[in-house]
Amino acid sequence: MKRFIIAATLMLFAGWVHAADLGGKVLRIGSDTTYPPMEMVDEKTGEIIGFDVDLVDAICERINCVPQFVTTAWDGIFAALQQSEFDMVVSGVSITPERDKQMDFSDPYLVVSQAIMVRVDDEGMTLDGMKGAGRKLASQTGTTNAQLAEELVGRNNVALFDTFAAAVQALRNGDVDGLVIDGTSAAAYEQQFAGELVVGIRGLNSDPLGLVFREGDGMVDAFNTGLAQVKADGTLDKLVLKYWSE
Amino acid sequence: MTDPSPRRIGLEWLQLRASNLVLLASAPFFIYLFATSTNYSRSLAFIVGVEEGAAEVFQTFLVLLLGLLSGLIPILLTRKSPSWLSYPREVSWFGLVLHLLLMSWLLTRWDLAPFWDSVIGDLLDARSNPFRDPKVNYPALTPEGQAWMQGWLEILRWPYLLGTTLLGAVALTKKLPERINRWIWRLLLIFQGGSLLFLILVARLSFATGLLLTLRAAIFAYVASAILGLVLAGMLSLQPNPNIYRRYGVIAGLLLGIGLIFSQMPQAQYVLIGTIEGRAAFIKDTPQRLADTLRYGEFDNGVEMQIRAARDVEQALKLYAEDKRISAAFIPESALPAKAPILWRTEFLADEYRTPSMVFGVFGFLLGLLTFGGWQHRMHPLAVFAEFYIDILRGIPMLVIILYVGLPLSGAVKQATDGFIDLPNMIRGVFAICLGYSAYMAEIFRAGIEAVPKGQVEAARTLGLDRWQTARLVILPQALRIVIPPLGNEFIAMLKDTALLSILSVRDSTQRMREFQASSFLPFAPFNTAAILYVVLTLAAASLLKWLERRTTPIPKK
Repeated sequence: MKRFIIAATLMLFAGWVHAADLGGKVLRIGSDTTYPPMEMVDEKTGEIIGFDVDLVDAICERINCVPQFVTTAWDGIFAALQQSEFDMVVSGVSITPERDKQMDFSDPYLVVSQAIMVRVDDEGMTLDGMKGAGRKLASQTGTTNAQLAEELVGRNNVALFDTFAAAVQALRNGDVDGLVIDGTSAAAYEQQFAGELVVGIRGLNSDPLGLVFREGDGMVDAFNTGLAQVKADGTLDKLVLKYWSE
Repeated sequence: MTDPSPRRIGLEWLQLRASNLVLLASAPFFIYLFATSTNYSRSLAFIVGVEEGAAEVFQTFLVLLLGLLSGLIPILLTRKSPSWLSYPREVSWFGLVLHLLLMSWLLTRWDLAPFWDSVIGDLLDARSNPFRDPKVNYPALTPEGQAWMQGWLEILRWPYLLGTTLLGAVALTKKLPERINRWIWRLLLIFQGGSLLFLILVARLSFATGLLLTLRAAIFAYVASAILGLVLAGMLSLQPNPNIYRRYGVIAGLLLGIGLIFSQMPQAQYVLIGTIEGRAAFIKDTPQRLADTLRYGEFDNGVEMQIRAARDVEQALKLYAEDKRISAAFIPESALPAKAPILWRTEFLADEYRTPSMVFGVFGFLLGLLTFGGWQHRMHPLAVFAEFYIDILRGIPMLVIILYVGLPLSGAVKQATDGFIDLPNMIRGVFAICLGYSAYMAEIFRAGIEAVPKGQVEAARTLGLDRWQTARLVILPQALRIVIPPLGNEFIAMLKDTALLSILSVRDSTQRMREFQASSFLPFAPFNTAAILYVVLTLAAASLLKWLERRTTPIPKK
């Protein structure tokens, strides 16, 4: 038994050293690029930019790979990963036990808390005020935000959209009273719809975000190594500062 | 009329196409799949929308459906009915008795609580109505609500049962004068038929919420787009008279004039005060384009500013004075506090003038163009409009129409009417599909109308029928018969296009499929299930249309 453990440790270590160099492999990365500032399409150049892109670039620099971001719709994104359409998914994905059963996650690279955006008239509304009196919340289908919205007000009072952009529109229209979204993106939407929307409630359920791989994909170790380096040398902190100056 | 061709033996009576026979033969396999695989049965339950208390509601629904239908049989059969619906009078009496039995069984012996939870609970507003149970996620009544419903049931059930049965019997025996008979007939038709339509088209039935939503959206959109398409086809066939261009030209000029007056209204004076280090407080309802001016630094000193929303002037000034992160405020000049440093001064036409100015201007211009185009081609301006509408709407993808109508347009309408017109997302989506498909419908109707020989119109005019009578009595009956097959085609296309409603957060079968897929991560089962469900629906629709087509085609004389 003892020998087995030593052998396993050695193999793991050997794998760890080797996997930290992917040999310039080109990676197709699926991402729902309608989620500023995590990932979005630059309206001037048409390139995919955002925090996740910068992070993967930084990691790939260290473990020798070439990231190639591909825009895709959020729903079906994991099915596409499982069917090898992508090598990995980086799209501000929260690590949840159900998802972890089907796919492999890297170590968390960012912990975000969720927030509820409201129209400026409703600023100052409390979470209890949201829960009571049949208020409606919007979110994106198949996200942890949607789960939280459902927990708060029940499925029949939740309107789920394909993209957060449509959900924001519903909030502006007054079709819903709040929008459950990651705090990281709430700040970006608050700017975009200045004068209309504010982040009303902050600091709800914290979600760790991870990079997503197919079940049993060896690249996970390499990316964890790269991520650890990026964390250690302060690159990650710099990126966080770049995107969220507050 | 006898059929001279020899009777064929076999599956001919089924009137099935060969491909459908293959599907029918493979049905046991699908049933086996859904019965044995939990992934598939879970998918099916979720996509169809089986909810709390589904079994009870389903039983109640079935009995109620049969009861109402059997109550309608005598009503439908006693009046003049087309030859294909003629049945012996015994059938009518049987229907009446069945109606009495089923409904009295339902209304006296049945626990209707789950049914009311689903149907009535959904109609009550969750925010304000005390009879709606706010503690559960699905529509349900509070105990007081249930007691209230039970009270009304006890008062109303015997009058209802006796009333419908007696009136039906009276109408059947035809002992009363024809005029009274006709009124009884109408009353029963409105009451029983109305209840039946409500049950099928509106009531929330918790055993198949998703499936029914898909079907109902298709039916509503189909009826609405057929009506709109017929109106457009009618517009296309309008003939101009010489005065029409002058009249329409004057209206266009008036609209443009009103737009011009609005554009000359006094402008709003605004100032940006403070310093540029922090964020700028920006008051709600100030035009968004000014926020963009601030955000992209397109004003005087060219510094991009971050923005923080404020409810009103007071809050903006308070934020400006007290919040350290906010160093500037964009406010009306009238509210300018003393000694505030002014960064930028601007004036703009307020939205309450700008919007009507644009709307009147655009409509006036459009009407002017239509009139000019019509004058040039000797066409009625409305016919030009119909052409324009068809060309535009046919050119826009349905997805774009639905997103546009469902989100920004509905928002604008809601804002313009101060929240008075606030349709649920499903109706918005149905409206969008109706707009898009009416363009195709109009073309189908036009083809049908043009297929009616010219001689028929001339003959009708010679007989002294006016334009409207000619259209209603001569052209339309023949045109409609011609276009039944393409109209049926459109229905099937629409049934599938309701899947697009899922982008408006309408929980139809497709949206449910996506939700289920997203939470279960199953790669195949949800998609396969939804596909099978849609195929079954479209096949059923196709069979119904085939039946209708056969029934309405006159039997050719030998």
